[in-house]
Amino acid sequence: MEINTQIRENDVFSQFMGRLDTVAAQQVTADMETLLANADKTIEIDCSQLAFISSSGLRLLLSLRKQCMVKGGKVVLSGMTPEVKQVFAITGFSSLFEFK
Amino acid sequence: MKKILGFKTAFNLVLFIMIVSGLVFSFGFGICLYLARNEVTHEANMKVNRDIDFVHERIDNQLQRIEDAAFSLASRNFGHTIRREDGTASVDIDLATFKRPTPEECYTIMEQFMDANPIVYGIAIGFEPHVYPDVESRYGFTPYTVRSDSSFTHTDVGQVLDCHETAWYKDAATSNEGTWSDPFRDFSSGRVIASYNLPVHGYGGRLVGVLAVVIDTEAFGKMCKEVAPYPNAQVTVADRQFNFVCHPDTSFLLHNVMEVGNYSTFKADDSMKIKMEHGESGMFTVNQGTSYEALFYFSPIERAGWMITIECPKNEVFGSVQKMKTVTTWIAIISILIMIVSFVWLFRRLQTVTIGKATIERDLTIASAIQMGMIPKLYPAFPNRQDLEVCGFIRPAKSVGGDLYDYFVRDEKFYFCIGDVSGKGVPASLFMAVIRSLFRNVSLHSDRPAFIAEALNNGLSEGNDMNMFCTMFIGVLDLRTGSLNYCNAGHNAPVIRRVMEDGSIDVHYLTPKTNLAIGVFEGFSFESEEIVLKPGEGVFLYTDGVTEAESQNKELFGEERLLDALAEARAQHARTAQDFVNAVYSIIARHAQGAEQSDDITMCAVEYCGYKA
Repeated sequence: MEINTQIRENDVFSQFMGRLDTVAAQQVTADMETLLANADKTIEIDCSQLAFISSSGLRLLLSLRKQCMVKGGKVVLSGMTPEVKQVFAITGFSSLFEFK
Repeated sequence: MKKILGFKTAFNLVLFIMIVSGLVFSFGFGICLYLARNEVTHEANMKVNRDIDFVHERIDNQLQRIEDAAFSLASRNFGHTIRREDGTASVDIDLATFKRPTPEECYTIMEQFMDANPIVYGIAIGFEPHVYPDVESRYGFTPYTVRSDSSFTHTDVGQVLDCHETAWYKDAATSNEGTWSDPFRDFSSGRVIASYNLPVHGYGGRLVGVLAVVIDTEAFGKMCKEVAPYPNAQVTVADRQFNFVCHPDTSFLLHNVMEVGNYSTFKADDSMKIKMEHGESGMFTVNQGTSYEALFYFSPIERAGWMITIECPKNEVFGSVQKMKTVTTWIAIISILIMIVSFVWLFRRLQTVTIGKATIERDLTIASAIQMGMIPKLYPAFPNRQDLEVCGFIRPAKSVGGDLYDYFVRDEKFYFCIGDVSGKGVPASLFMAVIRSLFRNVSLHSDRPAFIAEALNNGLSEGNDMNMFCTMFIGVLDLRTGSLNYCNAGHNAPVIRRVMEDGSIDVHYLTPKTNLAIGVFEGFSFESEEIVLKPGEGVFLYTDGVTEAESQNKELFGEERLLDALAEARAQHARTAQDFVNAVYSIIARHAQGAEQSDDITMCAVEYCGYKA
């Protein structure tokens, strides 16, 4: 699992690559801290390289979503694969995020 | 707290490692030392032999010069030269044409000779009585010239001494060739001298006399001092009796090598002495007690029958090896100490970690038992009921899991749920325990799944800083009517098996409204749905551990396979809820082919058999 984040003046672009399972979710804590610190901006997460997401991964995105709600930013997910999209659909998380 | 690794075990292990590494180290060290010693010995041999060659050449040149000069003096003034086939030479005089020099001329010739050869200390010529019959001398004319300070002293030794009776004269007269005498001490000057005695023959082999060229051996001592293979190496010359001709310490002169050195080795071993006597070269180790050891090299000076010896103290020759030995020994000691310290540290740490790990594992085992104790798992679940059959199955990926199912019957209504908490391990299991208790409590007050879901959601969302959540499917089945009320909180859609009007069986996924997982947003409004089950119909609940079970090739089990598995189970006469669960699990296991289970696998089969009061 790898996360590449570019922080720009008004928005943040982040690329999630690989499998975001329980183990990976613990490993990307530092990357998530960066995103959480920028929760006042629009954070676009490119999920085109994201092969899998587990409930632990969803938890990370939920934290980010809630932080954005507090600070006034928002999370936009883009380029999601059908497999990952299905996870969002099943859990009802689709209603929480903006998709592109 | 029980120690996993006893002190004794750790100590033995450290000891074992120490001994093995000590042996390996000693072996390597021994080989290194052996090779280094060999190399140093080889180097010493080269060095010393080079120095011996150097001294040998200088001395031999000097001796040769004396021999040549003596020969030339004799041949020029007393006759003709004859070189023999074997390379030796003597002077042959044709007495018929021989014009002997006058006694005064003899002294002049000798003086000139000594001027040309500074190493010559004196010359004596012992003539046969018939050569100078006219000169008045008691034992025959025997001119002798010797250096005294910067001038020369001439004497006719024949006045007082009969040289014809001396050993040097007799030996030379009978040997027919020039020979070097063993060095001896000159009584008048106290110097150690040696002489080259050359017989002079006339025609027909008749002896004319013997020319004796006396040299001062101090010159050789100077040559010896020019080389020093080691700072305290002693370079000396000894004669064929092993007496020192030159030695840095003059008191050793003319004393025997063996006696002066007081070498115990010499006394013990004759083989070297024999070698030396035979004019061979070689080296052996000598010692004086245990305090002093040296390498003793010797090489002959064939011309005079003498030999050059070089004695090198062992501590100088092997100084570098000794130093290496000391340094390496210290390194070994320090390394072993460091090893001991690090091993002890490592073992302690390992012990702590192992103990810590064991404690955690034990706690997890207990936690797992407590968790499993919360879940109903006695079958048949409701032995007194004919209208309902249910079977749950849970297999956590770790010792404790985040999946749950639960069910109970109250007021002829069957309450059931299945859930999957985000994450794994202890945090998930704690969250799961809370949910299970809440579910039981809330269900006491309401039979509407949406209400139960909302109550759970509000209860769990509050203060949920970790943002944990749980996908759930909650159902309430009215056993009297078969009416199934359910609320899906972000969980996988269950499979429903229906009996069609023509009696055929149809297995398909329910398509419930998704809502949202429990614990995500406080105040979320959940919606319930309703279907009616006919007798013989059933619902199969599961978590994503089922559909995402991986094979060795990382292929997911998937929803298609789950439908097929249920259909196959039915076709193979699965009737009870337990049959379905067991059949599906064995098919999942077949799919996994021993691949590691990455997520909790949980299933719950509910079979409605029609109300029987």
